[in-house]
Order: sequence, then structure tokens, then C-alpha cells
Amino acid sequence: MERPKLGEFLVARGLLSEEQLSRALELQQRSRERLGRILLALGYVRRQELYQALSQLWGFPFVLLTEERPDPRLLRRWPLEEALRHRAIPLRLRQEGTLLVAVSDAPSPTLESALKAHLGVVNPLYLVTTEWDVDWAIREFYRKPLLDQSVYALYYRSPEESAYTVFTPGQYLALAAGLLGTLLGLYLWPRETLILLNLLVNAFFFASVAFKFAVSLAGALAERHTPVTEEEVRALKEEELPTYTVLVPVYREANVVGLLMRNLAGLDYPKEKLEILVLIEEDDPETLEAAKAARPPANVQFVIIPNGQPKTKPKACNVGLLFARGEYLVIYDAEDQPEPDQLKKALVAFRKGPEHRVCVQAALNYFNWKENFLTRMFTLEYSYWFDYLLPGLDRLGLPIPLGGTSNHFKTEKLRELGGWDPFNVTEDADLGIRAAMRGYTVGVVNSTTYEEANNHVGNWIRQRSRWIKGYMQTALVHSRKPLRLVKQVGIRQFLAFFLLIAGTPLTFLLSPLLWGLFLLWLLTGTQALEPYFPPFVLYLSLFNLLLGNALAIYLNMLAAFKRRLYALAPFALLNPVYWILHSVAAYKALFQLFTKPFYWEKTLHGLSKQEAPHLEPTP
Amino acid sequence: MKGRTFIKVLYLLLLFALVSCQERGERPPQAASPQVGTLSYDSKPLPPFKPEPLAWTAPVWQGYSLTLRTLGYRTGAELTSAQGEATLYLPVNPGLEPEALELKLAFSPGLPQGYLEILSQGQPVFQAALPAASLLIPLKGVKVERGLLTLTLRTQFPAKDLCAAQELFRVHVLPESRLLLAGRPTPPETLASFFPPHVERVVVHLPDPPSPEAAQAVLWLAGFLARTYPGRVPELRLEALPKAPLEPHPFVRHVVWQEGEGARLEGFALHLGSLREAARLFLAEPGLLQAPFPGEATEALSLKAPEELGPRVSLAELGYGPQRVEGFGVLTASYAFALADLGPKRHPVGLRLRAVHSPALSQRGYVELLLNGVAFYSEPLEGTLLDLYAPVPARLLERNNTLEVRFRYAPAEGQCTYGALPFTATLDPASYLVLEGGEALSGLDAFPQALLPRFWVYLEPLDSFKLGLAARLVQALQETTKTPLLPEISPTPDRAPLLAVGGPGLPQALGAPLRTPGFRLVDSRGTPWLVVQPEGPYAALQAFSQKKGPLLLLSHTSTTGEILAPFLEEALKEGWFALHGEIALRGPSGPLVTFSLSKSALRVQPLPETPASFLARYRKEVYLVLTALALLSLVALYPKVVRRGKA
Repeated sequence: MERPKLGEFLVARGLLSEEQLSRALELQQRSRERLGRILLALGYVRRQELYQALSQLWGFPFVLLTEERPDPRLLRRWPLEEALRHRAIPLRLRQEGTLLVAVSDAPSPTLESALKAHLGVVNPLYLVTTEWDVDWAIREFYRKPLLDQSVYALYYRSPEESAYTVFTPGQYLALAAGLLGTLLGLYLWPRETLILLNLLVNAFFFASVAFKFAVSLAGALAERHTPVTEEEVRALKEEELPTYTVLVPVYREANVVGLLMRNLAGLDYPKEKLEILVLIEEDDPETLEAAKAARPPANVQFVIIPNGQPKTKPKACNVGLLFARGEYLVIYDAEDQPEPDQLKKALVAFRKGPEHRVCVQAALNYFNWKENFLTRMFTLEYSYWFDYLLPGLDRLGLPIPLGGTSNHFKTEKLRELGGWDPFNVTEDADLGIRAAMRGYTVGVVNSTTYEEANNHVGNWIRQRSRWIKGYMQTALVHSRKPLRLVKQVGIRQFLAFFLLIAGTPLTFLLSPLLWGLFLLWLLTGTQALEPYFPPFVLYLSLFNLLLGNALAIYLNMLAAFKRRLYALAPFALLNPVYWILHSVAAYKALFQLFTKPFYWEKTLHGLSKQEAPHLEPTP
Repeated sequence: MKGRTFIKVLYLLLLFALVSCQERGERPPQAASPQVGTLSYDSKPLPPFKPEPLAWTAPVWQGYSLTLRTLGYRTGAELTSAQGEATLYLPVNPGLEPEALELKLAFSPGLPQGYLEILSQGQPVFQAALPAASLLIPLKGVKVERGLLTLTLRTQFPAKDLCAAQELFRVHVLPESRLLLAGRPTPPETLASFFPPHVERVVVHLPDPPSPEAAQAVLWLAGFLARTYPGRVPELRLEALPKAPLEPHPFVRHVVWQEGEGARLEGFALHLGSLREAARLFLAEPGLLQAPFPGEATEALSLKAPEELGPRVSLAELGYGPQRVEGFGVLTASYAFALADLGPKRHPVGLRLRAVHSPALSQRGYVELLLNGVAFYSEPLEGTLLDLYAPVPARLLERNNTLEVRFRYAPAEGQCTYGALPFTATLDPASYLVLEGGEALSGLDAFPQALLPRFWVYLEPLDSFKLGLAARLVQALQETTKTPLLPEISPTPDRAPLLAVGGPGLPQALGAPLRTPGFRLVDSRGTPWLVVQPEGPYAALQAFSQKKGPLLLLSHTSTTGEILAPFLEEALKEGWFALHGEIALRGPSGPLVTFSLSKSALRVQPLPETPASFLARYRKEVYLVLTALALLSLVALYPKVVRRGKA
């Protein structure tokens, strides 16, 4: 007897109307997605009802894993990887030798082979459960391995790429030698030592200014080139669209999770092909309740992250990565508002880009840029970063440090790279560099995600100190074997990495010293500094002071014009004041690097008095 | 009742307060200040100084000998070419008669036989054959006019080539040559003749500490002496009144400061007690009779200028009459002037020169202008009139300058014989220097111009010793310029331009470059060029500027200040002419050191008596502590940041 089709079966059971079925089938025609997913995405059936129907169709009993707990002895023999690969949980072994296995998908020969290999079972008895039940069960019963995997996978696989160790013994020795050597030099040859330090600092600033200017010029040329057009987006066929996973790590975001649901609902992508995993920490029931109360659509799943150290966003994302089913994956923050067609644009960018492209980065900008001085400067900074610097790095083929959000990945390649480093507080920048070091490229897509700019100084410093600390970590991680790195990526890429990643925190740590010397000279007219500024150092420092600062301000001003935020242009002149905040954050970061390197400074969101605009999908 | 009592008490308190204020409001009567000058000391007037009358021994007939160097001819005199001429102006004080002139001569090698003729007022006095290393010229009976004996020396040598003789024949009258005088010193009869044609020393008797008026008068006198006796400035001494009778000397004069006194003569002394009289005698012109030595006419001729070139000063105003040169080859007319002669904050930017000369054939001659030995302009001689304007390069300017107009004329072939017409040129004293405002020089070179038109003198404390030093400085400064310097005593050092003399605290108060007991002079690389330890005293003369104006500071770091006298003597050994740079410095012994800070890479690093900063004192300990802290931190943080294995 021919097995009935799912749709007809559900209609026969009264769980679905003919009209609903017809609509779902129409969608299936277009998207070629499974009917069950379409029905769930459209909200026509509940998940449990669907899987109960499937269990009957497949001829297997239905089970709820929340009621039927698996035997731990079996789980010890069934690795986490197999559970994730097959989405199958062995429940118990009957006396007669029959193994009960809970599955959310129709069993396949590969599952049987795996069960035989690990558990020695030839004829298992399958029980159907929902995929969410399987996921829940994995998180519940494989808690420790899950945590281990999400926290230490990268460290075990390639410890030299993990920020678990802040300094290698060699690096620490070099730091100690540098510090003690400087003290000795100051004691024995104070003038020569200070001149040397002065020269090194100014030479570094000079190189940094020249580098950023060159990259920005290249980025300015890239303005004229629009990578993805509207026509290309419209040309995408729904049936060709792959499953896309959206990871949204949240923590203590009860006040913005409602907005999050609204923003996610606005994404222009077939719901049945869109898997949204909201990653909520175990010790954050408020956010979970708020998220549930926001009545999210059916394609939104809450993934509870087991409690454990380090409690960081990359750890949560690694857990999410384990459960991601999509061919592509993107990270959004709780307050993000991406342009509705961003996923499609990213797809086009991937398809147009080279094979070894592992990620495309969308631009970030702020909807509350007018709120106060801080939001204005933040917007200027980001506009310059995403509209000039990143495109310039892309154009010159240099490593691109990813932004914290709106990074679109090829999921398998991401897994190949080892996911995110949970010990690095700017896991995105680290991932971008790690990808570049392995020969992968990161591209830039002309789509913007709008965020809330920090409008509070204390909050801003917390956030910025984390970013700078992360850059320090990234610089330390990837410079552990500098010669090998140079051989691997070439001197050009190496220098670019150093100037951008190590250069950013160094700039903000050193600039107060130089500004302090300048102001001391200006206000007192002292000649005491003259011995430490011989002609070649003096000319270099004058260049940095006058031309360097002028260039930095000018480039910031340019950034405002591209976004037509003309009112922001004069604020670029206030950059020196803004840089003071950076320096404060840098010193805080330096302190934390040694005292609590993995501590994640939580940025508070929802502080803006301005309401985020509602973005309409592209017609 | 309590309320009324309270009001009464309040009333009494108020009354008491009013009375107290009233008492404080009364001021003591101000001391009468002199009309002349702007002294405003509030200090109590000193009791009048009433010295006993000076006693004199009887003057005796004596012989006196004065070298040409003493008489201002520091380099002697020179006669050049086949027919050379030089004039000596020799002072003869009243009561003295010229006895003889002992000439010491030097000759250029290869000079043929010739003769020397000496004339006085056109009348021959003496003739002698040359060459002769020394000659004794009797001068008895030679007329002295207005205290001046004028002798013209002429040499005559045969020469076939007069042009070559112009270059090669030189007779040098050495400065060791002596004028022998004899006589009995006679006291001056009038105030105008109190200062004779030649004075070697002027002694001022005044109390110690002197009153501000006395100090003022002394400074004016110092300037007067330098202006009146240029090139042979008399020594100025400050002394208490002598106990024993004084011996009159023809070349020594005494001035006695006596409060309340006007100005009167008594023997060889001038009794002076009024600032007004002192101003009349020492500042006004004419005051006392100027010794017109070396005399120059000061008649100015008008010269039409083609365009207005701004303020100017003519050569006549600088004290020069028409200068005439005559001969063959190189003929030079020199004009010496100080920047201070041009007035305050002025320097020359151009020279308009006019001269009439004998007809010059084309391409036979040119005129060259030199400033301080460096040529800055030249022009061919044509026709008979020279009228040129040449910009004066500021870089060549010095405090005292010599402008030379050098004519180079080569007569036609065969014209260098006797009877040939020599080249003659007369430079018009109406020629002028075009001036521009602004200071051309800095440091010690800017003085005395920086002190014009008048300046303040601050002495800390006001005593004879400091006054004597200040007077010596004023003399030395005045020597370099014809412009009268007008010093005024100031009770406070906050005025400018200022000449200050004081002790260790004064440099600090005035913000001088050297203001600590010890210091190190280092260049831009930190190499020490001079180290003066705090324990070793030094005296310094510093020229610098403050917001209010220029300052010239003479100070010391010793306890008594005695070091200042030998320092000043050493510094002014060759007069103010030889002092350059910004700072002159000397210890208790050793050479004088002069240097400039603004025009060099040198910097002053004060050496404190004890190290000022904690870091300087405990440098080693501080670095040890820092190193220990660094090591401890590195060790403590190691396990936090260098991790192995799972947490």
C-alpha cells in the first residue's frame, strides 16, 4: 500500500486545511523545500503535531525526550559529533538487545552504520521526536562535551591559534626583556634610550598613518564599484536559495529582544529556508521569558547555552554553530537591524566571489547618529571603517578584521576554520585574520546593518576597552611565530596585519604620551625636551603631529560624505577629543589583558532615546 | 538696658576704629626731592655730609712725561708715501710747559734716506735726517694754544715711482714716544676750566653709603669723562675724604660731594652738592669746556636728496668734517661710528656718499666701500663727481663700526714721477647714512645703544663699591659712543632699560639666564662645555631682555662681592669695545669666558646646591625599586597570561 503523503495525511487528520495545503504546495514548488518545514514556517501546524504525523507515516512510535530520558551509559558510547551529525539519540537497550534510538529525521544507512560502529547494534528500533527535542536532548545530556567542544575545540586542535594562552612563554620572555631592557637603558643611557624610544614610537605612527592613508585611497576607489546590484538580487530564484542560519547571541537583553524579533521578521528570505537560533545563556531566564513573550515565528529556536566559563559571545556562537543546519550562516546582535535583502546580497557576493571566499562582511552603521556627540563620532568612525578602510583592505587583498556582527559565512568552511575563539573578546577580528592566514578571503558586501550607537560614555568605554583588548589578544595570537606567518602570507599581509591589529591598541596607548609632551612644550615653552628630539626625530614627530592628525581628520570627514551625513563632517575636527576616550579604553584594556583577559565587558543596549526606523524590504 | 549697653559698646568700638584709621592715614612728610632727575626714593634723607675743607700741600715744580699711548694715540701715528704728513694734538695743562717730544720711530725696510720736518702752526720747529730710531725734539718756546700743542710731522723721501712709494714708504711713530712737560700745577680758576686738557684720574669723595643724589651725580660724571676724553678716559675713584693733605697733581682732579652745596671750586677740588648743578656741569652742552681732541669741524652742508629715504644722519652729525685724500694707489678715508651714535633702536641701511675728486680717466680707478674691513660696494671712478647710494649689509654691522672709503687710482703709465698730478678726493661731510628702526644687534653688542635715550641704574645695595662698579661700566659704555648716556638711579629693579649691579639674589629676581650659584653649559647633545659648581663663586655680566626692555646685569655669587672688581677690570681690559656675546663670566681667578646662548646651541642647566628632585637624589634606588616591581609583576602575572592545559 502506498504510503500517504504528508500533506494529505495532515488534511485527513484535520490538522491542515486544503487551502493551507494548496498554499504550502505552491511555495514548495517555488522553493523546493520540504513540505514539513514550509508548514512549520507558515505556522500551519505545530511542531509536535507534525512529527507525530511523520512518526505515523514512517511507522515509528513517537517519543518526547523531555519525558523519556536516555541511558547515560549509552550516551558515553555515542559521541556528540554523531549525535549532531545524525540528530539521533540512543535512549536505552532492551533486554532482548533492541536499541531504542530517537530520531527527528528518517533513518538513513549511514546512521545504522554509525550505530553499529559505536554501539554494536544491528537492528535498532527508531522512535520519532521533534528536531528541537533532539537539540534539547543534546544540550541537556551532552552538556559537558558540548561545553568542551565549544570552548576548547580550537585550543585542542591548534593551540597556537587560541587566545587561551594570552602570551606564549617566548612572547612573555620578550616582553620581560623589553621592559627590563628599557629600565636598564634609562638608567645607564637615559638620553639615548629616550631618543630611541621616541624614534620607534614616531616611526610607528608614521607607518600607521601612511598605511591607513594608502588603504583609504584604495577604499575610495572602490566607492565607484557596487559589488551587488538590485537586479542581481532580484534574479535569484527561490528554489536555488539555500538554508540560511542566523545566530543571534543575547545576554541580559530582555529590553531589546522584542525589537530583535521584529527585525528578524523583516528579513527578506523564505521563512522555510531560514533557521534563526537565538542563543540565550542559561543564567538569563529574563531574556528567555521576554523572547517567548514576543511570540517569535516558528523558524526561531531558542538555544540555551550551558553555563560555564568563559561566558562570552564566541562561546555561545560556537554552541550555535554546532546546531546550525544552514549552508550559510550569519551573526547578528540583539539590537541589529539589517537591511531586509542582506542575506540575498550576501549570497550573490559569495557566488560572484572566488571559491576561497569564506565570509562577506556587511557594513555597520547607526540609526541614532544624531543623538549626541558620542553617537556622532561613533558614526563617523564606523562610516570610515566600513566605507573606506574595509573596502580598501579588500581591494588590496589584505587581511580584513571582521566586524562583530553581520558576518556571513559558508558554514562548512567556518567549521573547518574551527569556529570562533571563545577566549578572544573580539572573536570576529580574530576569525578574519585566521581565515586570511589560511588563505581564505573575506569580502565586503554593499548592505548595511543598523545598530544602536553607544550614547553613554561609560558604556562606550566598556565596549571599546573590550574591542581593544580583543585586538591585543588577536595581535598576540597571530604573532606567536612571526617568521612562519611571513612565509605563510607574505610580508605585505604581515605588515598590514601588524599595523592594523597591533597598531590600533598601540596607537591609543602611545598617543597620550606624545600629546602630553606636545602640550607641555606648548604651555610652558620648556627646552628640556630638546635633547630627546634630534632633527630626524623632530621632523618625523612634526609630520605625525601636523600631517598625521590632519589626514586622520580629513579621512573621517570624507566618510560622512559617502553616507550623505553632511552634518557630521564638521565633527571630524573633534576627533582629538574622541581619541582621548580611546586612550582611556586602551589603558583599561591593557590592564584587563593581564588581570582578566577573557572577561567580556557587557555593552548595555536600548539606551537610545531614538526609535529605530523600520526598514521595508526591497520590492 | 542690655540693648543700650550693647549699642554703647558698639559705638565705642566704631570710634576706636575710626581713630586708628585716621592715625594710619597720616603719612610722614616726604623728603624734598631734587627738581632735576626723577629720583623718587622714599628713604629717609641721610644726614647732610659736611666734610672738612680739603688741605693741600704746596705745588712744586716738576717734570712730567706722557706717552702718546696715554694721550690717546694707541697705535701712534703713521706717515706714508714719499711725502707723508701727520698731525699730533698734544694737551698741555695749565701751569705746565712743553719741554721736548721724544719720538720713537719705525720704518718700512728699504726706505731711502730722507728727512723729517716738524712744524707748529705752520712754523718749522725741527728737522732731522731719516731713518733714525729715536729723536728728541726740543719744544721750549713752542706756542700752546688753548691747552693744545699742535705739531705737524712731515716726511720727505726721494722716489722715482711715487705710486710705489705710496705703498712701500712707511714711517711709524710708535706709541711709546713721549711728551715731556715741566711746570707747577695751577688750580683751575673757573668751573669751565676745572677739567684740564688731560686728566688721568678723577677722585670723588663721598660718604658710604652714598645718597641717591650723590650716586646719580657720580654716574653722570663717569659718562661725562668718557665723552670728554675719548680714547684716554680718566680713572674714576670713589673715596672717603682724606685725612692728610693732598698733593696737587696736574693730571688729577678731586670732586667732593657736599649736600646743600651748589658748585664751587676750592683749590684743585670741585665741591658739588646739587643734582641740578651736576646736570648742568656733566650733561648740558656746552658745560665745561670740551677738550677738542682730536678736533674735527662739525659744519654740515646741505645735500639735496633725490628721494626721501627716511631718517638719516650725516657724517658731519657724526663729528666728521670734510676728509681729503691725496696721492696715488690706495687712498683711504675712514669714518668710525658706533650704532649708539645713531640714536636708540636705529641702524644704518644705506649710505649716500658724495665726493669731489680730481678728473679720473676711464678705467683707471674705482672707489670701494668697506664696513669693518669687508667690502660691500664698488664703483668705477668717472668724471669729477662721485655721488652714490649703497645699501649697507646689516650682517656686517657691529657695535663700533669703521666705514672706509677706499679710492684706488692708478695714474697712466709713466705718471708716477715727481710733478705728476696726484689723485685727490674730498668727501663731503653732508654724506649721510640712511637709518631704519629696529635693533641690529643683541647681547652685549646691543649696549650701549639699548640704553638710549636714557636708562635706569639699580644698585643692590647702594654703596660706594657698587657705585664705583656702575660708574666704571658707564664710562666703558660711553667710550664707545658720542651720544651722551643718561643714567638715573632707580630704587627698584623693575624699570627698563636697566643697568643693575647686585648680589646672588638679583639674577633670580630679574630672570637672568644665569641665576643659580652653579650651572652647567651644555649643547644640544648634552655635552657639557662649562661646569660651574655651586661652591665656587663667580661674577657675571649678562645682557638679556625682559618684557619691559633690555637689561645689563653685573652680579656675583660670593658673599661679599669683592670678586666683582677684578672681574670688571679683566672684562674691561680693552674697554667695552672688546666685549661681545651675551654673557661674560669669571671665577675668582682664571680667564674671562664669554658666550652667547641665543645664537648657539648652548643651554644653561642650573646646578642646585643640593639636588632638587627626588629622582636625581635617589636615582639608583628608584630604578632598583622599579626593576624589582617590574620583576615581581612579571612573575605574578605569568600564570595568569601564560596558560597550558585546560582551566
